[in-house]
Amino acid sequence: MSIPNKATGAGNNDAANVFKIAFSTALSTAPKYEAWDNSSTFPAVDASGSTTAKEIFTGTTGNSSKPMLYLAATTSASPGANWKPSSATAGSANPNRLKGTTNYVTDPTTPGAAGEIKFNIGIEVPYDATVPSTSSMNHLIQIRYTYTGTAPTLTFSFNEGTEGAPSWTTFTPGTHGLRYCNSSTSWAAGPYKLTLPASGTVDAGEVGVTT
Amino acid sequence: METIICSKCGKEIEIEVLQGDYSTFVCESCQEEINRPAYINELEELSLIEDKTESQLKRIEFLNSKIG
Repeated sequence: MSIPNKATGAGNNDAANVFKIAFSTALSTAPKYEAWDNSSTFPAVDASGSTTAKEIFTGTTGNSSKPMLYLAATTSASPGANWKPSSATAGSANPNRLKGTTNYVTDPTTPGAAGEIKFNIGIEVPYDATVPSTSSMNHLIQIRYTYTGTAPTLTFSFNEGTEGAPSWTTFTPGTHGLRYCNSSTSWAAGPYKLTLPASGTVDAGEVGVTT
Repeated sequence: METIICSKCGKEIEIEVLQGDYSTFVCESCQEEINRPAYINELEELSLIEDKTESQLKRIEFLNSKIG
């Protein structure tokens, strides 16, 4: 298995084994999943997020100004079918739409040494989203965690197997990035595109990790 | 109802169910203040594009409404 490739089950599907983060040492609080503007060129990411001004967070008239990204922490349980939240919840909720520390997700667990957290992520894009989207959709996913003593080393991976028998492939944030794409995308050859509908919204049918 | 507090301005927000940690929570209006320079930068960048798409023109309208 290799990169680029599809992350099995990613998006608005009842899948828990999609993305996984392992912590080498124990955390002191439950980690949070956040999303922010990214000003670096994909797949590079800023050191940390501070603004949520891009259209992926402000939304458009066509989606009633909602954040487009949504995430479910799946460490403890599967998210269920059609888990996408219809709107953002103030502060923390699981699942939730993502917008900085205004709308985010807290994992239900606090990992110990060699502990893991898992999540699923998707995007819903309205018909009137800005084209081209190179800048308007450029974001970073940030995991906020606390610890005492030595900082943990994080290992990120995604599932290239099945939900029942996962096969985890590691990736490097800032070197590899996420692409939100149409269903039946050729992950070996591309193109890595999400086609806008004539009206309403579209959810990315597949999400993958690519360079 | 439960109450959470913005870590920037102290404003109280009512929510239905508590889930997780709210120590870093920032309310919409505070985040909009933080975003303001980014809105101005984006507006300046879009203004430089000669042949703007319809969606870019709508975005300019949106950014102008945010900047005031």
